[in-house]
Amino acid sequence: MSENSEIMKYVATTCPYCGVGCTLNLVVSNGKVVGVEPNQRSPINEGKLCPKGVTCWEHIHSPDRLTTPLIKKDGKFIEASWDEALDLVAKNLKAIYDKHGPKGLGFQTSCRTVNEDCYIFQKFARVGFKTNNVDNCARICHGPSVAGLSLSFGSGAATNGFEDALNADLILIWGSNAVEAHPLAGRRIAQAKKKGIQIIAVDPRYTMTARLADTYVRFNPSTHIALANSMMYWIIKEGLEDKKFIQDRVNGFEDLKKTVENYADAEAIHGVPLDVVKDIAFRYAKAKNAVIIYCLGITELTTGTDNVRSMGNLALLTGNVGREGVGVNPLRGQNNVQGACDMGAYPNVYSGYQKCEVAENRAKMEKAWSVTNLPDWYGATLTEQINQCGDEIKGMYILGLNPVVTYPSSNHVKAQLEKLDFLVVQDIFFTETCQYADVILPGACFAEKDGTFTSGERRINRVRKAVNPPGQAKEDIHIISELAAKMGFKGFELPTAKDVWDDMRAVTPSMFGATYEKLERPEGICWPCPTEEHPGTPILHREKFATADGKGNLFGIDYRPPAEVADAEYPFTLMTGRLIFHYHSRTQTDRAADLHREVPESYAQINIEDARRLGIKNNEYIKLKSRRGETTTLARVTDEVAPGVVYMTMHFADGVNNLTNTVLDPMSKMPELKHCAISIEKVGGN
Amino acid sequence: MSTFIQKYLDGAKNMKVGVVVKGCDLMSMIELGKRNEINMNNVLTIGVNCGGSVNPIQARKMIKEKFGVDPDKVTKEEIDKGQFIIEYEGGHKGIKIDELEEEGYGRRSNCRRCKYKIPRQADLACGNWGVIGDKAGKATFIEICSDKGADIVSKAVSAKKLDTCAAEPKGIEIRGKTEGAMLKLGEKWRKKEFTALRDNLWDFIKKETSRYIKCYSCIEKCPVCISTPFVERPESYMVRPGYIPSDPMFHLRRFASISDSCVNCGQCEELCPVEIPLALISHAIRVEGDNAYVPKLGAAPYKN
Ligand code: SF4
Ligand code: SF4
Ligand code: SF4
Repeated sequence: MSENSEIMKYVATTCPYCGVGCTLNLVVSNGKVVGVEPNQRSPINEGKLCPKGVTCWEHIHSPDRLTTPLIKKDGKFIEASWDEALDLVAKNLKAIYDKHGPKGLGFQTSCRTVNEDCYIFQKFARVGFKTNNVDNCARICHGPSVAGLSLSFGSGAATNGFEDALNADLILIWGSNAVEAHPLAGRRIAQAKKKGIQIIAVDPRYTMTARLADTYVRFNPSTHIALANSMMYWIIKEGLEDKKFIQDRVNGFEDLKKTVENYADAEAIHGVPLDVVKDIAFRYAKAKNAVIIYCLGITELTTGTDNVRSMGNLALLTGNVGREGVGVNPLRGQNNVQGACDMGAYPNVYSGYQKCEVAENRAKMEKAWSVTNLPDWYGATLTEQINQCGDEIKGMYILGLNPVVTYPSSNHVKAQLEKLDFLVVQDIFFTETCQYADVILPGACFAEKDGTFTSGERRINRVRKAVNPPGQAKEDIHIISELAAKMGFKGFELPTAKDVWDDMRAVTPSMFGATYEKLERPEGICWPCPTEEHPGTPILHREKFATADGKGNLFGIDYRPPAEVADAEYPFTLMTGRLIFHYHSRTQTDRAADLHREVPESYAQINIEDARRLGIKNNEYIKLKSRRGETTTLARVTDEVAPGVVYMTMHFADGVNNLTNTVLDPMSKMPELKHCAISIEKVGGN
Repeated sequence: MSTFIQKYLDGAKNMKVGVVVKGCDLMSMIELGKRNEINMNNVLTIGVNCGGSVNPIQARKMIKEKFGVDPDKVTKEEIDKGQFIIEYEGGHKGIKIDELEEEGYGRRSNCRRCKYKIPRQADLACGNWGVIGDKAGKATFIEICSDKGADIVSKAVSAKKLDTCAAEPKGIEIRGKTEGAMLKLGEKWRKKEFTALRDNLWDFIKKETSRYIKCYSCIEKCPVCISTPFVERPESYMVRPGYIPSDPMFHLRRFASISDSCVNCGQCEELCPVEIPLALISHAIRVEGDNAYVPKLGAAPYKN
């Protein structure tokens, strides 16, 4: 609408919700965002959006936005000037650091926010406080993917892009309800189906995505390894493994072969009849090109890393890595969960996964940042930091996270945050976590800043500023930069997002070539992109793997049951997941009228037989209890879940995370969000 | 375009706007006008002849795969004489649309079925069809279709912004022929696509709509589908909030509401994240309805 360009404009940007990274146009009129319109030139989504994308503008000008810094005095939040608030933050961070050293502070950043925020935040923690206690919420979604895929392939990211699934002959979608959780990646499955590509969905729930499949395989929750091992046993038994690929490009075949010997028939564990196991195994192995797409059903368990490696095993065994139409692709949950890790907001790596323990890397960063004594130790992870509150950790800085709702075992989180001497929360809304803060700093939302998000296919997409932050709220890089100035830290005079990005590029070989100029293109760039001439790398591991010896690694991995299984007292298995209509703790989505109307309160899916036995009717309130807490919710009676299994979404405060388990995956420190034991009661007795 | 004016410009109720429209844009605006969503008295419409449009990403794919040309090198695309023609650094190339479309490339599927090629219900109907000889590529046809249109042209001429001359009879003939050929092609596609729906219509609708995820784009962006306010809407006995796939009545009531007004603009289908061929279904319903019944809202001024 060029004729109205003075009063109205489109700003092309990236959706702030899931890791698909759809492009959309914000419609700006008189300094306000008034709507979202399609951007059909985007190769990611061609203008199409899911319910969250089309409503993503509605919270921007919400009257509930934080518009001024707040300081807690006598238990009440009082409005403060930026100077007062930042002085107080500076004073307290310094005091804690002086007294307790680098391990006395914890830094947590959201992976909803732009790369530039994540980068400057981890730099602030490392340069200012010599700490590696910096982490992001990938820890509680795809931490195991980073760990597992690194071990298998040498790079902890998706091997191929979303659209590339259309080049496959077979799609094995495992523990992912893409149609709801990543709708525009789910679209590729719908397109694949229309093209006649075989689709096998493996999931304990008969989800929207499973409904698209040619073959739906229901298995017992959290028995991935047993099922994958069974499949591999039969693949090897029939000689269907890719012998040449294994010989040329893979280590560890004998180890794997030996382990899977014990899984010829593991139906007792995973619940899938042997003929079905063989059928899907043979079809996967025989397909010319087969891709595995997986999601949090695989990762959010104490066996998360091993589950991911099992997916790697399947792909390596059958030679399905390193070309079009194959690979192993985690659907990354949040819009920037890939990016937050890439930026080094992670307790053991700098940007581009350069390990802190390697002396050369430290020396390089020390030089670039003009500091000395960067730490070599592995910092405390997200939930470890929570556990250390009051002990090692006395002060915490949380950027854009709502741990009280989204971390496992809410009661535990609340009790731990209470123990801190000082907590800063930087956010756009007064979340449930703000209650526990000493200082609250009002940041900018996605429409109020420039920057980049990196989607689940390693695609770096531009985020463009459409309007100014409300009231006195500030762009987050400016908050950090001003705070750093107050504390006398050097190297934070970075006024624009591009300056921060260039600062990052200069020390990050895998992204050096991804300049803002190149990112102007609607295609964005998939890293690795080492030089300015480099077009980016949509498909990884073509010639060799990113491991030290260039080979992929097979691992013999045995099945282990989840940490807490159903028993007489807590006879049901609770699984968790997402709804299409909401995002995480709903601070944004519940402020969109359509989304609130669809699902205003939490519900739990329970099987028809169980409901009948317990006398529970659809839509009546039930009480769920675990060893850690309880929650009341609506019952949704369905055959989408098997008997004995309950499914609940994660979006509601005092909801499912009152129940979930904090036990961690030893390798990735992922808490077991997807599996715990619960009991069900009718509310109001019988 | 039409819903943009409705939504962001308050239906042109308090401002005058001039817009360049293709057939589908115009029909959409006429329908919104009928529903008092746009004040057409305040809108000056300049129509252009349209042979169809191509989704930009699909176009890039087609250029790469079928033309063997790097889409970034292309400087111009057009549809002319039954061909899709591109000009690029170092040459030009044309391929027959029929051939492209048989292979699944080419125009949007609603455009293939479109039969409103020169929008003569606009104030002016312009475009390059029939511009021949030394004027080709430099001039446009102008068919003056309303007083408003006549007025703007004479003002433009007296302000020396526009040179005009009478259309050559040969040009008029060619314009007619081009239009006729496009209409024939539109009819061919209708026959093909509607016939294919005939035998399994219920199954087809059921299967396709089972993917529905309630992004509401097919409602929000449809020019003839206007929701009642949600506040104080009585509870539906047949469509429950929060359920996906949605209950079947969700679709049935939408199809029913737009049945005699779908203008085949294709927006619903274009924006559908789960690839439901909504425009195909709606368009088929309207065409069959117009064939068989007297329209409830009176005959539309356009023919499609
Ligand atoms: S699919 Fe994901 S990125 Fe795309 S619109 Fe929906 S939430 Fe946004
Ligand atoms: S439907 Fe397609 S062919 Fe018809 S006027 Fe619109 S864009 Fe042109
Ligand atoms: S139903 Fe679809 S094609 Fe028909 S008018 Fe509405 S948006 Fe256009």
